[in-house]
Amino acid sequence: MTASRLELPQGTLDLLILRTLALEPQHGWAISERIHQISSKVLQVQQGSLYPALHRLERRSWIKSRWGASENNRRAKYYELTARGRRQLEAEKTAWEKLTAAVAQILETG
Amino acid sequence: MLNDLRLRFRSAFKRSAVEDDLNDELRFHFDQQVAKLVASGIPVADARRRAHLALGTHDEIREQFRDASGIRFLETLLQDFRYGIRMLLKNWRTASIAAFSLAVAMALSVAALSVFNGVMLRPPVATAPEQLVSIFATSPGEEAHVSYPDYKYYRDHNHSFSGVAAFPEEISQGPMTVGGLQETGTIESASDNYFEVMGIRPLLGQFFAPGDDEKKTPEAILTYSGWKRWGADPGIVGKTVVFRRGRTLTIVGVAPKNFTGVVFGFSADVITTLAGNSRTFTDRNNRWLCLTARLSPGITRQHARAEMQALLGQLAAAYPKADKDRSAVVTPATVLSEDPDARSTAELISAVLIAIVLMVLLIACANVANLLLGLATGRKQEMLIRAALGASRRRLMRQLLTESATLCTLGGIAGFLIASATLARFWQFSAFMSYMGSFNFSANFRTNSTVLLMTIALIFIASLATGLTPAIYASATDVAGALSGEAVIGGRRKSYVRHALVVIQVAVCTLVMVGVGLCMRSLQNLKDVNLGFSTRNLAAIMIDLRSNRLSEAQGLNSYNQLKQAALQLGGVQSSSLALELPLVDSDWSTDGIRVEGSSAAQWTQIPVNIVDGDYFSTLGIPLLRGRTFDSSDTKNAPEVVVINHNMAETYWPGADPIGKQLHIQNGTRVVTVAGVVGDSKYNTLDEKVHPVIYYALGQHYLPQLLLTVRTRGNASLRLRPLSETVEHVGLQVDSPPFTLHDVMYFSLLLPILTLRVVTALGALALMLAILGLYGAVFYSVNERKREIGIRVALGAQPFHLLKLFLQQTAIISGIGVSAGLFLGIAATILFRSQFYRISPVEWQVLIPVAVAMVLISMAIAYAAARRWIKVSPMEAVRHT
Repeated sequence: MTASRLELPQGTLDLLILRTLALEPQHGWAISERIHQISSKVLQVQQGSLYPALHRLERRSWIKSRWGASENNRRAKYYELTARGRRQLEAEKTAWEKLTAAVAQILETG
Repeated sequence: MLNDLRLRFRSAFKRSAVEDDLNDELRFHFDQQVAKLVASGIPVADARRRAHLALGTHDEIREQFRDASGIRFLETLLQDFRYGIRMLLKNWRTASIAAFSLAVAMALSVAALSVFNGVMLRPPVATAPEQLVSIFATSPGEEAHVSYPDYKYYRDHNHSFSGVAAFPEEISQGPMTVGGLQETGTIESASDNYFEVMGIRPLLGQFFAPGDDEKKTPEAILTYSGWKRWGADPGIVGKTVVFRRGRTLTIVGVAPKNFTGVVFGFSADVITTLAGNSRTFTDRNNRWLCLTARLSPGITRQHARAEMQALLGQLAAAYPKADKDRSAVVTPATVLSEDPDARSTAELISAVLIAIVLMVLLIACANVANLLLGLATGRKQEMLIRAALGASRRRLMRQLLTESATLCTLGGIAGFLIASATLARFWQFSAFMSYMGSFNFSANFRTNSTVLLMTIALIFIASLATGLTPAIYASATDVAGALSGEAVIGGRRKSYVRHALVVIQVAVCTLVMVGVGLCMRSLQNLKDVNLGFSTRNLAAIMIDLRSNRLSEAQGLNSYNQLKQAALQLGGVQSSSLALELPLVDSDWSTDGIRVEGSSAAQWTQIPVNIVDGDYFSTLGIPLLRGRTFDSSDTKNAPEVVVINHNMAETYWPGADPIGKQLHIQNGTRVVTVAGVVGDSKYNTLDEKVHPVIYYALGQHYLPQLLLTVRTRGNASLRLRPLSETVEHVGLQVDSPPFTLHDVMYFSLLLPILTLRVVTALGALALMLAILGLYGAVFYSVNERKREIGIRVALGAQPFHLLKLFLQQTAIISGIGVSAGLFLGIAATILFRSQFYRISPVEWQVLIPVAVAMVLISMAIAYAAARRWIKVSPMEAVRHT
């Protein structure tokens, strides 16, 4: 399987972003890097979908943003999880686990 | 949600700031990516190129970002709005006609809604008005008011209320002096705990104290307007207000500005305790009080009603004669303290008013829809080009709806402002009522948030009503048809829509016209009522001997002097004294009577009047049998009565009632019928004929009477001499003299006012409908210009063309008028009880309305089509 070209199913990007932000506040680039690394370079989030997604999550008050200084001391926009976002993450995680379990079951028995 | 809106607005309005943010963020991402690639050993230039390729262009991301952040929606809305304003400005003539008719109709609607709000919804002036209730003790066929002893019982024995206040729904007027300054003021009275129950705090001084209702020296409170009238003296508390005959009250306080009086609609100057009222405090049969109470915390209305019913039961057991068979009603308190029946009448009147006004609004909306439809025709090309360039149908509809919403919002705002300004200016006004003098009215009909909300709802409905049809029509683009050059012209479907709009307008207008006709007819029926007496050249004045402290004999003597003096006046033919005059008082006192020879159970209450022998000849009531009273009917002679024809027919059908006997007041008096006079109207114009008994003044002396004179020529010229005569005899004139014509006018005031309002609304509806019809015919002729040209070229004469358009209009208006007539008949049946002698199908109204509407439509069709009919074929064809 090539490392960089796996399309994310609709809706999973939100879950991944929320999960990534659950650890600590991050800026956009770091989020995409972390998803890339943790998924053993299987998932590559495109910039074109990452930023709209971040703004969508912000509008739903699941994450909030502020400008801060990055590791190399540049101005970067940091995103962090809100209380509502944390609840949403739990809900989506449960839903995702149920879904994957169900899909796996069908694949195995089929 | 709030966060969402905040970000959306920030995105839409501070677009550059947001985009700068986004640019910074993306730039940072790009730099990080390049740095990472460089770190892995790739040359800088190459790293930048690869990063670019991997990330895509910033513009692309920005587009996606804007879609995702919902800027798009607001952006297009603003765009639509700007574009809409441009379109309306471009067609400013059409747009201003549309906005104007909408503004007028909206102003009317807002005014009607405000009146409805002011009468039906607005709570009385009080703190926590939601805890206030009105209490009635109803009994079939009687007023639901409460007597003073009953009120005291309720007040002192209930456990449901923190307080029960009472007030008579009465106002009186007279000269009063404060600090040497005499003014004519309005007096109302209320129980001593009224202000406490309502939770109103005094502006100055204090309000009444418990027990003041029965104090010998009553106190007074000035209302804010009364206080202002007498110079707004800050030290007014403790000073006195002096009424006629030297009655002096001490002013204990001044009420705050928002309190205008106890009785809805009137602006009072002085409020006294119940002791300031001359009514009885002991008679349980005399029901003159309205009750307002405040529920104790935790008590529901149902609970309170149950307790009131129990208290009523105790009263009924103790005083069966007065309080038997009554039931308690507890309703939320409103400004109308009337009993529930009167409330439902008020509800009905305001509902009808609002319905008519909404119909006018409907006509205005149909106008706007038609005008927009006309604009839409001109814009078909534009819509096609937009559709060809890829605009979705939804997008086109939204554009058109935004335009109609803009128009409706402008009209709505204008209407709301006009109505608010008018209502705020005229919420307090003075009106002169012929025989009662000048009264200050005050009713809070000002617009408030409730009215604003209703207005916004109306604007929303109007936007959809005016915009939906044109939007659906104009957005139904047929690109293929357009390319073949056909679809640009009209189309059948649109003409159906337009015709349907005109049919609705004509139908609604016809309905309103039928309403005007019904009001006119009902008023005419009332004017044509056979009164049973003649109002021509009659003048009257109230005589009050009570302050002169005369004995009965002296009093009768003064009366005789007065009558003689009046007869000496130039132009006076006859004069008479009586307790009541027809139509002056809506409620005569009654006596229980039983006819000799009938069973004891048949005690009937019959209205009575006390008159002298000249009463019938002065008023022109014919004597049918026997005699009227004369000087021999004195206290010492056997008591005689005169009865009306209806009473004779009811109790002695087919027999001669003269000499027959009646038992009066539980048999304590037995009287003999001496004469029978003709029936007349007694209390109201629309009452049914009923029995009436007349007593002789010589046998029933009263210190307070009406002196009536019949004059030669105009009675209003004799008013001043009449009051001078009364003063000359040494009596005081308390209230101005009046003519019976004034009384008639006052009796007809409500139907006359209704007719005026409905006529004004009808004229407006007609005007708007004419505008709409003219526009519709004009457009439809305009659309068929090419067809007309071809017809003319083929030899059609102007006459043929005229016939063509008139036929079309006749069909459309025919359908509209018939629909309107059917609605009119339905409305007549529904509201017949509110009119006087109106049959379900009132042909004398329906036929003229139908003929007028059809003729008007034809005239408009002719006016609109004329221009095109005379056109030469070359010109007509070239014009297309």
